[in-house]
Amino acid sequence: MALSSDPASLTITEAHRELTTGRLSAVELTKAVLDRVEQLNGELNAYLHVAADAALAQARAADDARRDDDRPLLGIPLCVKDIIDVHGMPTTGGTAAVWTRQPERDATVVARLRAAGAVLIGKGHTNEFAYGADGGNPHWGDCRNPYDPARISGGSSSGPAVATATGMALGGIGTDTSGSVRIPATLCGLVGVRPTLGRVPRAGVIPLSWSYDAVGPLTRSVDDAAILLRVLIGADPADPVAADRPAPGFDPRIGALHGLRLGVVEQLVDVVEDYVADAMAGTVAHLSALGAETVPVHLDLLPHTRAMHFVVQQIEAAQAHAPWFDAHRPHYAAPVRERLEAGQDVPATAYLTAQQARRLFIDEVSRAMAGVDVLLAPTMPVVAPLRSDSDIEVRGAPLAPRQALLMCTLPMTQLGSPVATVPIGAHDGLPFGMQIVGRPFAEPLVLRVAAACEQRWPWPERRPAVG
Amino acid sequence: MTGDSNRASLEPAAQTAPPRANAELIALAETLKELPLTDVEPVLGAPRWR
Repeated sequence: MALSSDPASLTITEAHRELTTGRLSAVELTKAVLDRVEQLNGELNAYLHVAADAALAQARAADDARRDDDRPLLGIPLCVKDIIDVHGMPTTGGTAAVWTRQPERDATVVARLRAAGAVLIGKGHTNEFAYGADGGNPHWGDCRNPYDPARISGGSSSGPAVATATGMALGGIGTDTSGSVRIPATLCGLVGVRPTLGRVPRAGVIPLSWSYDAVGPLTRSVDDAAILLRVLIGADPADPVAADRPAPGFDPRIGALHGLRLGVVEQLVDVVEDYVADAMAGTVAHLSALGAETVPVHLDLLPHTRAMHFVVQQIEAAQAHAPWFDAHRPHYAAPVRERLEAGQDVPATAYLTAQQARRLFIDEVSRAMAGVDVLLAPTMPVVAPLRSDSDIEVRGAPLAPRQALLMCTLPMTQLGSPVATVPIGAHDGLPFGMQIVGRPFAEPLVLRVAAACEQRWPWPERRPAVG
Repeated sequence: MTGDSNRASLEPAAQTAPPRANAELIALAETLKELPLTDVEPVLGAPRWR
């Protein structure tokens, strides 16, 4: 192999180029990734299940197919969050073992990854039933941040994030209900995309909240996110919400941003630490230098989004878990059990009130985006907190961890539209990011702006020492 | 079944209901009622933008 660096450190885009030119084989790449798993997973806990033999068999098949086949994921090792069914691997949902199921078929997204030639390394760590934002898990142990293992990885797509950041995979597939792709992506220095609700099918994914659940990629680069989205997007008869629209063309490398208007959600910039706000200002200046116009955006209903979200999510989660909740109640960790119980037997009027409030907020955002192409907002108010922190201090005020972790992502989750997070800076060696929010089905535009942000801080400069 | 166990089953229910686990969530929903919700259709399924 002529590569000077470890192939596990490549982006998907780079690896695809090396594979197609014959400088690297899928087996070599997969072995390099499995070596990283062997080296790092004991400490970081990114995988709940590793299928090394199956992965190597998939890699050999990719090498055999290579001659007349340039599928973008052919031979690319990926990590799949363990609430997504992969045939041949257990789906634990990050739960106590009694719940585990052995799926008889792949989730739709996994079937699409296989059809595109991907190598599936294993099932990524998750908060129990994806109901958490910190990457903690009392049943399987916590996932740890690759920049500092004493800190949280973020969750609930903790495993795909940490695996992708460290070369235990070249990309990850996660799910985002409250911020579960965006938060671990941000805290692990990655690009993460929450697609338009319905863009990516959810069949074969353990539900948490039907109004919010979205499947999306976590990657080292914007180009990689575009590659994965192209594969994941598309209608699915097994998913009644899946949109019947073809995958759009993605060209994140269109450099200039002339003619674009970017709305900065200043209410969220005002509540984050100064180092995040300063990096956002620097990023906005960079986008302006590329030709974009930026305008402030104020959303009167934004303070109500927390109530909207928790009412809708907790009621839907309680209903999603109802078929097995009573039988498995003793096996849930207390915080998840308590949240599910709080969502039981709530009047339908409370649920509909929250969904009416969402309608008002979506209409307000739609009006605010008249003449504005995308919104910009921080992804997190702080860098990764210590795992031992009982409170998270934000601008001098101690906040409950869940409140601090979700405060910037929850408002955008209400919209059902695409949101990407892209790294924009680091503080004390720990990365953080910015959200880019588009109108429904505007993923190509969102990624184009993300790519422009990425120019300031590309992957090779921000990867953790281990990856 | 003994007479004692029958008596135990006939004891009156507690006079005061325990606090409901969902009280906080219902209170959260109440805060949204201050919004102008008249004639507003709730979001159900994937939201459509106007």
